[in-house]
Amino acid sequence: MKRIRMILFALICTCLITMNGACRKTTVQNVSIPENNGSGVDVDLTDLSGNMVYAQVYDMVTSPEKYRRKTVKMRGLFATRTDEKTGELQYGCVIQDALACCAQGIQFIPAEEMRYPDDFPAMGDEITVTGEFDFTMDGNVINCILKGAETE
Amino acid sequence: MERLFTYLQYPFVRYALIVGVLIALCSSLLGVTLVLKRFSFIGDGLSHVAFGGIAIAGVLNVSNDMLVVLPVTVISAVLLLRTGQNKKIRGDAAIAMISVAALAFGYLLMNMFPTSSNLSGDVCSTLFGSTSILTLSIREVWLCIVLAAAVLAMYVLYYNRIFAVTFDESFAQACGTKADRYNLLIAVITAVIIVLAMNLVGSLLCSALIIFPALSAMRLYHSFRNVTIASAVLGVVSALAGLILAILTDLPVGSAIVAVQVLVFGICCILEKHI
Amino acid sequence: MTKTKKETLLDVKDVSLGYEDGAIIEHLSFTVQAGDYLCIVGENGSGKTTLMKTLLGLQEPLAGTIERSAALKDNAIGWLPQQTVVQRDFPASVREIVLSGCLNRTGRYPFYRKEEKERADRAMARLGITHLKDRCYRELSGGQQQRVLLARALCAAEQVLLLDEPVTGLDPKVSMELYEMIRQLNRSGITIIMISHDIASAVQEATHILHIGQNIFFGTKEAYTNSRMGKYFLGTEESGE
Repeated sequence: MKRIRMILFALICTCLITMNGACRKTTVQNVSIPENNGSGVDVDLTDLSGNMVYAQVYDMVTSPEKYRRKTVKMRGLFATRTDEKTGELQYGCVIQDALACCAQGIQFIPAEEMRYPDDFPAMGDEITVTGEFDFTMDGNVINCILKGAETE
Repeated sequence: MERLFTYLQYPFVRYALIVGVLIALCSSLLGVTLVLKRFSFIGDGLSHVAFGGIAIAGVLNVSNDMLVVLPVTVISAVLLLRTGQNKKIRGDAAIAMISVAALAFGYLLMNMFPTSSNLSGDVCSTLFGSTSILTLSIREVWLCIVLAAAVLAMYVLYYNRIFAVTFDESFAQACGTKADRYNLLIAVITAVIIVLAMNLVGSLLCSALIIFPALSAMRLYHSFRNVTIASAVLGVVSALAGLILAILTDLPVGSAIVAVQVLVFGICCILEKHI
Repeated sequence: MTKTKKETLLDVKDVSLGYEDGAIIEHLSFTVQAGDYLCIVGENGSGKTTLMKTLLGLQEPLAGTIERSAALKDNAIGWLPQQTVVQRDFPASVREIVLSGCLNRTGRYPFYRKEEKERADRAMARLGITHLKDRCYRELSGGQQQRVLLARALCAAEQVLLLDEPVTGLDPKVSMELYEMIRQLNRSGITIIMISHDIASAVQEATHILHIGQNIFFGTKEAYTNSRMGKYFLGTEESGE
């Protein structure tokens, strides 16, 4: 019994140390985001499951430096918002989590001239957006944008 | 399979699996003692208290809500697990009282002093876990690893005493074991685990992580040691399976894990009849 | 016949027992010598369990003193408590339960050493339950479960055993076997203090009787049988009331 206990304890310690090593490695290197099939898209969210998309978008919105200038393709729901300061109409792609109670979105700026509302889908309709990821800081608030976006 | 391998490249997926396994391991170990002491609903009670703690932390604008949640939950755990000796309020009534009161006041506070624009989203995510497990920061992962390691170490070192106090507290006390101290230890460890488990399955489903692996193991094994080990294995395996299932599909994480645990329990019941 | 002076293990002097709202027993005095077989009898609610808890150190007496001999340290009394509902259904092996009686011997060391395991094995052998050591406790019969708990009490202490109504709920044959086992333990030198509802059996087995209730009696069983109180209670039993 004592031996089994020692083995169990050793196993647990080994697991903890291994995981610790794995975590440490991750923070040292630049996060490697899996590259896609060379179609020009660096981060293809349309290929991921629902939970993964939400988690990935959360990662992009909270640690945006890793994704700067990467081409991102995402599918979500179309939404608009009026900027309080400039009065400008902004377009966004919104992702909901599995329980549909939480949502996050990323603003996109279309590449070509598009007129609202004719060239856009209805609010809440599905939209696929591909664009270059960038972000700006407004005090402590991070604003993420997909520039030069093409929509489907 | 290939898809899973691709997903494992993402750091937040690895974090989720590590934390999920550690939380499931600690919960299922402790679950054996709690179920046998007839405190199965303590998970529910304490997670509602933690919810109330989160509300208070939000109102007070505390940046790291753990600073409020952990102490509040630990104090409640100590009070609840000791009311067995209080003749006026029996254990289960005390848990029920504190549980609903905390939930009600927590939600009330969140409504009166809203700290975010999406109140129902925040509440929903706290109650059901939502995707919290997939959005952990490296700091939270480290905190979890350290706490889980401490819990495991204490469990292994005090295993014999925990057994004695679970089987027959008065006898242990008559022999000179300070049963009160070990009850306190169990209460504190339970509180810590519940606070961590809320990230995995949310407030409402915390009880499942504690009770299902223990109950499944008790169907199949006959010594306390084997029940404990089996509970740990079953807990970890079902948490991993539930997590992976949720990551590969669109299912909510908390419910997927609990669904797998219920399935495992069903299988153990069937095996019990045929062994 | 040489009479060796027996060592006094417990000396209870003018003790009052009870809770904050009042004393159940007052002015209780008795002694327990090494090798005695003392039965504590009395009506329900007379305070037998309270007395037992006080002897074990789980409760303080309201008044009076309880002196223990130097040989009998605080945790050198083995106890066979009444079983709780939780325990009857407990998933533990017999060996694990018996070993738990050795907990006070491990000190600060977290695990059981060879000596403690051997002690548990000896206790199980003494009670004839070695063949049950890997069986699950909840699968055993009432009599077997009592033997397991008795083995656990022996692990905790080998000088004095405190038994709280050991044959409650057992059928007559099993009760007789358990009484025989306890008798053997007493013959091998262990002091027995037993709470019993069964006055007839108590008088048969014991060397001393302590009757608590409205009136307190302490003395040898012969003295009890001849006393007015003894005759009253035994007489009641014989007439089948």
